[in-house]
Amino acid sequence: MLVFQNKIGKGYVLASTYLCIAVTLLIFLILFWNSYPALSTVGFDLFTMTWNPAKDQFGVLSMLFGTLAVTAIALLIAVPLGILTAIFTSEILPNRYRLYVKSAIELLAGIPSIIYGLIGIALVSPWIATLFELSSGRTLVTAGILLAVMILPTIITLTDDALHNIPQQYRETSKGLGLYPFEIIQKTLVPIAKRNIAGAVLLALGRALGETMAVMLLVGSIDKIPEPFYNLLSPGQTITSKLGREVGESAFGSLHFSALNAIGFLLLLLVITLTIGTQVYMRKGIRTV
Amino acid sequence: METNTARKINAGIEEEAEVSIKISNLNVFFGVNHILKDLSLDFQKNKVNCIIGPSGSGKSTLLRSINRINDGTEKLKVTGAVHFNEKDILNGVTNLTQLRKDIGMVFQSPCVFPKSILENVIFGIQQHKKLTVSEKQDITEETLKAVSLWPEVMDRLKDSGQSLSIGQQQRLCIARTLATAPKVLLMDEPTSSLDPVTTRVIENLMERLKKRYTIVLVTHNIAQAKRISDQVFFMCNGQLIESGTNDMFFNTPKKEQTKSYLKDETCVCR
Amino acid sequence: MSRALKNNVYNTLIWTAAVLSIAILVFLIATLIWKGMGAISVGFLTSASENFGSEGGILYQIIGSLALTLCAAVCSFPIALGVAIYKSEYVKSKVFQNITDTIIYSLNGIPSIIFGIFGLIFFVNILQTGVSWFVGGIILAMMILPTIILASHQAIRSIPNSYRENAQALGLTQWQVIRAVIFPRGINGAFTGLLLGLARAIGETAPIMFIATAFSGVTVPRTFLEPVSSLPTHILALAQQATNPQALQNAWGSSLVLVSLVFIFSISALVRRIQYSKINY
Repeated sequence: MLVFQNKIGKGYVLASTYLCIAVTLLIFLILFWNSYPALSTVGFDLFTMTWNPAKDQFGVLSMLFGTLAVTAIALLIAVPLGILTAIFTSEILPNRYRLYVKSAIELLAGIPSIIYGLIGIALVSPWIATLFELSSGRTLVTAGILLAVMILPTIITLTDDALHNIPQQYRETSKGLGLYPFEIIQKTLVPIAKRNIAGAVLLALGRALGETMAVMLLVGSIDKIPEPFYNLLSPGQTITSKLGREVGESAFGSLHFSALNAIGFLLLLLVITLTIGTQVYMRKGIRTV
Repeated sequence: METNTARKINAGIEEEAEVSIKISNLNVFFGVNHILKDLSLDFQKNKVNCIIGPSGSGKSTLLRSINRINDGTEKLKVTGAVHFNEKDILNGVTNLTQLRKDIGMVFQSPCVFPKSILENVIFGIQQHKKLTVSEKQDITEETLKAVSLWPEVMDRLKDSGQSLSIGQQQRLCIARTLATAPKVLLMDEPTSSLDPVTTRVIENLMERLKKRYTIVLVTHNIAQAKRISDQVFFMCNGQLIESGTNDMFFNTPKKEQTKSYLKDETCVCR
Repeated sequence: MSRALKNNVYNTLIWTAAVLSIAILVFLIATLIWKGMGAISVGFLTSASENFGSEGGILYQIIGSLALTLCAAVCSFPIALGVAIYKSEYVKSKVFQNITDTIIYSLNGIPSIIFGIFGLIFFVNILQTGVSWFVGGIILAMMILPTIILASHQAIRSIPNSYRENAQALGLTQWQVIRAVIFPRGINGAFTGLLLGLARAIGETAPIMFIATAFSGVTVPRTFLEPVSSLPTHILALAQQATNPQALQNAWGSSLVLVSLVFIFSISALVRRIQYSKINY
């Protein structure tokens, strides 16, 4: 009886694990299998400008550019803001308030992206339109700003953890050597927490790359690279916004659907490499510290 | 059969001592490290069998081979034989559950589960058989009396076991082991985390318990071994250096290493 | 620049950044509450939507979202607990440990839109299930699996090894050790993880918009294979009619309801985590 129970128990946990592994592999396989027709017929013509399903033209360059631009804008805003705020919550804010502030920020990290999309469309994009005198406020910059706000809580909480986990003695020793507060942060704490802060930024980057709803509503959804390319106050397209807009409209089995799958697969590989890379990098960090 | 011959051989050396556990040619390897080197020794029934030696000498490993709690540790390899109840428990026993029920173990620091005192006592036994409420009460009372904890906790059996003092916790752990009705008690430095007064309480307890159980005690405390042991086994660097009765071992040690260890707790051995 | 001056500059920077960040986050919440309160009434919460959502309420959207979330919870919880136990109690080899870790992190990293596409291909087209809330629930379950596994695994790992050894020494089989010692703690952790996962699942749009939801004309599902409407997809549809003030008003109302649901889940998770961190294990 006991032996039997033992076996059932082991069977249950083993089956769960294999199911989990199978599901993950299945996602990769299905995506790859469905992108294969496009990859084999379109091939390197994927890396061209024109996207026209009617003529079987599937160029993804504009989407790659859009993804890159939007993500870069988001990081440029969120990284400095997030790290400085984390320094504030970890090093300046008294400990008894820290828990509350941190909990509040963690809660905000959970606001669904569709709501950022709504705020963007109802408030931010009209502001951008009036501020820069544009006909429409749906631009790469608008999407980037909203994305920055979305990843800000992630960067703040993870960086704050990284700084706060440094033992107090490092601060005291530095203080004892006559360092100014900013020097303690700059010379002592940041170098120790460097790896974990980088990990926080990379995780935020992964999230930004895969974010769909807010970007889809705000980026303008036009398959073009702006003229000139640094004129980011013009509409564009990202991989995710393309997928969100068109997957529902394309027919399963068509070359169009397959091409969409291909860019989805591309995105998947990009984000997964980033995520796993970050994990490996962070794990090494723990060992050396 | 095997035990009978063992008994005869043993009878030749020491009169009327009944062997409970017979270890022959026990070797334990961890990766490339040879932890126990060809140990052969007998633990006697209803005695306090005391294993002493410096830390790292393999005392705990020996103890943990007897109820096979090291099983499943990666890179660990055990060869040889350990006989208990006429069976070779290293190679002949597959039911580890029954084995560990028969050979109970008490660990270095008390480990009380985050449950009530009563639930802690019956934690092991209720996994082995269904108990009625009154049986649970009876077992708890009986075993807690056996470890002299009953008077202190009788009116708060529902309290968390973790609210007890550390000495009480260790006695609770012993009670928990007794509840599964073992024949042998393996004790791995059970007093090393306790203060001297509580240590005495546990030692007195062992004196009483040996009438019903075979006790195998690991300790690094020479004075303790001298106080309560019947048989002493001195181990160093994975080898058995010397063994004998309490009187023989402490009063007329034969080996140089033993003398030096008894004098200033130093031990040189290869 | 002197060090004292530099120190002041740094200080100003940090304070500015903190004030700015916190202002942005406060602004977000304030906007949601301010705009949302204007739309919410008892009638809004208890009536069906009309005229493509710009009129009427969001009753069936709330029901749909809850159905999806419940389905995700039921599907993911036992599996996640199993994986966490297998990972911490059975796996001995470093290699397999690393493989499972990598798998879990990969699953965690997959962008939500990819889950949607996968569901569309695998369930709707290959298995021919059609657009259904059950499929949506399964996809959401896959998505939150890693969150629950990691939380449960972390809780199980915090059980000192001596507990396992003591239980083993009392003659418990491996499964009895798991049931008596590992389960209670593991379930606690998994439940906290589940709440966090659900907080994420209920707000997701991208995974379900192709496979589980229909925009209008949907009420309470009677079978497993029927579409529902949900809060996030409702907001999406309304946001695209943002020029219509009536639709926008309803979008704000739906958003506030959605955020409240999300916060109910995440605040309970937070409270549980604080409570259980106090238990002395």
